Amino acid sequence: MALLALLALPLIGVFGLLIFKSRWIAVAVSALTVVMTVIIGRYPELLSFFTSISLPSFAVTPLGLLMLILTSVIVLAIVLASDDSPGFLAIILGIQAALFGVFCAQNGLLFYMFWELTLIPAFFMILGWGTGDKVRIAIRFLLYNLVGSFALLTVILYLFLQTHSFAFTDWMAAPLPLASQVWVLIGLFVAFGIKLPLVPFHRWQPETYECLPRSGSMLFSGLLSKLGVYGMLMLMVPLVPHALLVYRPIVLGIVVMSVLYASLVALAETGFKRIVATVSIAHGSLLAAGIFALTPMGIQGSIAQIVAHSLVVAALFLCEPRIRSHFYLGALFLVVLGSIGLPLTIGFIGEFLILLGISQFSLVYAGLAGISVILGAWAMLTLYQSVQSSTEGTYEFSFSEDIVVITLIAAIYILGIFPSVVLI
Amino acid sequence: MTAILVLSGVGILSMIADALQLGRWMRWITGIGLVAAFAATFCPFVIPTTMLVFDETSLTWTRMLIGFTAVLYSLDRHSDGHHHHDALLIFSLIGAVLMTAFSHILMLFLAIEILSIPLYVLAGSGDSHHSLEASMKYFILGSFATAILLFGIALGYAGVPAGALLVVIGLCFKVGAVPFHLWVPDVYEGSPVRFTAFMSIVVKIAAIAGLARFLSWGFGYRPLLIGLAVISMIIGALLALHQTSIKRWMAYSGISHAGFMLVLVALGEVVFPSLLFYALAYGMGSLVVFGLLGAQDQFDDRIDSLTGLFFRHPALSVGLILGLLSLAGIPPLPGFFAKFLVLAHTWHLGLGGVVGVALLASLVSTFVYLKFVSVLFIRK
Repeated sequence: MALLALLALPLIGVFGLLIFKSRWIAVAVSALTVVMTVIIGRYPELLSFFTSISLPSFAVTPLGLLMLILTSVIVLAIVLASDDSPGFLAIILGIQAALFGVFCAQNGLLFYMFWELTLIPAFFMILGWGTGDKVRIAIRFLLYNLVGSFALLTVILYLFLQTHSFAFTDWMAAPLPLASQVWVLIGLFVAFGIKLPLVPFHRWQPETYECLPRSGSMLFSGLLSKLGVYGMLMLMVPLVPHALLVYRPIVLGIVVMSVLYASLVALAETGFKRIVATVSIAHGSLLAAGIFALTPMGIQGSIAQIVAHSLVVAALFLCEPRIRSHFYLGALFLVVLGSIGLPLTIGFIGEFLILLGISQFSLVYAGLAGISVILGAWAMLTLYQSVQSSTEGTYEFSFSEDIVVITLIAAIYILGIFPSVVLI
Repeated sequence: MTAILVLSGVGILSMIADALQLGRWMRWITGIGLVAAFAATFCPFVIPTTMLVFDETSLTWTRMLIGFTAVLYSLDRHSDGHHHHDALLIFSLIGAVLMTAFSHILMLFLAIEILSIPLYVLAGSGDSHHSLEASMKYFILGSFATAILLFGIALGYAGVPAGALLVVIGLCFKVGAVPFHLWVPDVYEGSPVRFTAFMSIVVKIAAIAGLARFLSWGFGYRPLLIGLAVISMIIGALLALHQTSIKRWMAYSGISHAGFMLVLVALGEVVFPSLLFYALAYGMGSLVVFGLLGAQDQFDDRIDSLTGLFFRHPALSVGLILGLLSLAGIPPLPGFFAKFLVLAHTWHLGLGGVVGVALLASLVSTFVYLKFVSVLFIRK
């Protein structure tokens, strides 16, 4: 019952927005989802309340719960800080509904359906509200993501024909021979690697973030990219553990190269959004590296880094160039520190655990990833310097943006001091 | 059976009404007649005959065909002044219904002729010379296909096994499968939009149903049909990529969908419910697209003419987008489940290569549909 309400709430918000055209509906709905997800996290027994109208293929796993809370918090931040039209906010809530579906689905077909449903509003967001060469960018975004979707669909179809079931539990229970695990691994790697994105599949990402309005970039980088990580943790690791273990040097090698490449490219990029986007590829790849190291510490670090990256990147896009004031430069500085993983921030916990996890498998890979982290930090500090000395930007923070930035920064630092909340 | 009787009655009645110049009653006669024919499919009355069989399969197809025609007819606002077209449309529909129910090969031939001859006229009923050209092309290629079909029937009657193959090829002309598709885009482009819709929905589904029924007599042409299906999917999707005319674009998209349906036809009767579902999903999707585009005051065939439609007609665009997304196979719309069923059945029977090609084709065609959708959002 509680779950059904949670899944329906953003949809109600979408219709409310389309009918009444007031942004306060979006604020109210997203605030309500934050409250609901936190309550569900605190009192999980609420989920079994009124079981007669429960949804059989949906459940809340610990990781799913973390993603739900993160989603609703980021969406609330986006909605509060935005001054966009109701149609735009409706698309944001629509994507939130689809994300909730993905994070709750315990059934391959539902997972795929919600996965695809995130894509369509995102496509319309680029088409309707993008800037620049938006049609070409939207089509490229779509092409890349459709290839990923079809890879995922193939895997789902294969697993369905093997087990005659769509339930995740049946899939996990089915013993797959190594040869077919490898194919499943490749399919899922492409599907999730495009979403994240990892380097060979990343071409769509920087231009998409650059083209979107600020709220859109926050949503794409903070939440949609996390779908890839969620899929890796939820499906890849339990489904193909053997293949991952056998081919760990190759998979991890690709991912570490991706971190290194993106960090180097970030040094050569120009423009605020493009640099943030490219560093975001590096951070996302680092997340994947933590998972594919297949050590408990690496996976824990990845989960912490999901939260860290979402908060940081949302705050970074919020701090796009404006009229320079002490408040703006201070806020940007604090966020940049969070982004480069300074101790006392949640980014530090994530990166440290991930590097530690990789080093338990291979010191070479850990060294390469460590160098990339330093390169990424260099790119971010250069970015801060250029913003500080530039005269770009034409508008100031509004009051609600002040509140959102302060809250996000507080979350980055408080979680950095008390990380046990996110170390599930 | 009763449905065919009702439809024949309605056709004759509307011809008489046209002769007596009762123009304003025509829409009512045809509309109510279509609804009555749909209701009549539930009537168990049958005249004993060896030429036709009305089992559950053919009744389901019949309901689908009459239903689609009725909806198409009700959406059509431009028929005033050309009422003799109604009678021709009804007669063509009778041919389509007969194609789903034949149990004698000559009946198949008659059905195709009854289906086609009114369509040759309807295709040429537009104002421009394009329409006449379309009619002529349709007539010549249609006659060619009929000749092949008839030749096949004659060979089969003489006991030559290749006869059935020629019948299959003749039917593939009507389905519009590659490489027998060359007439499809030209004819669709030249015909008035409401008859294009009729051809791409009712005629195509009827031809698929006819092919399925013919093959259920025990002719095994699975490799050939799967080959045709695979080429159709890919070629249809690829050629749709760079079209500038809506009708040609729909023609190629229909060719691609025909490929998917042919896979199910080739897999035999076990997958029959999936074939029905696919036809239903395809028909509904095309119906939405054609119905909404045809419902505009002035139908403009250029895709560019839809630029920024979302900002001018948001409600219409949302409906159009839903139809296009269903045709593209985006969950949770019916088109997705239809394609999913094709893939699952094919893979289940061990045809992995076909699954690969089908996935590739649906990737391309999804892209094609979404590219079309993106046109609606370009601000002028």
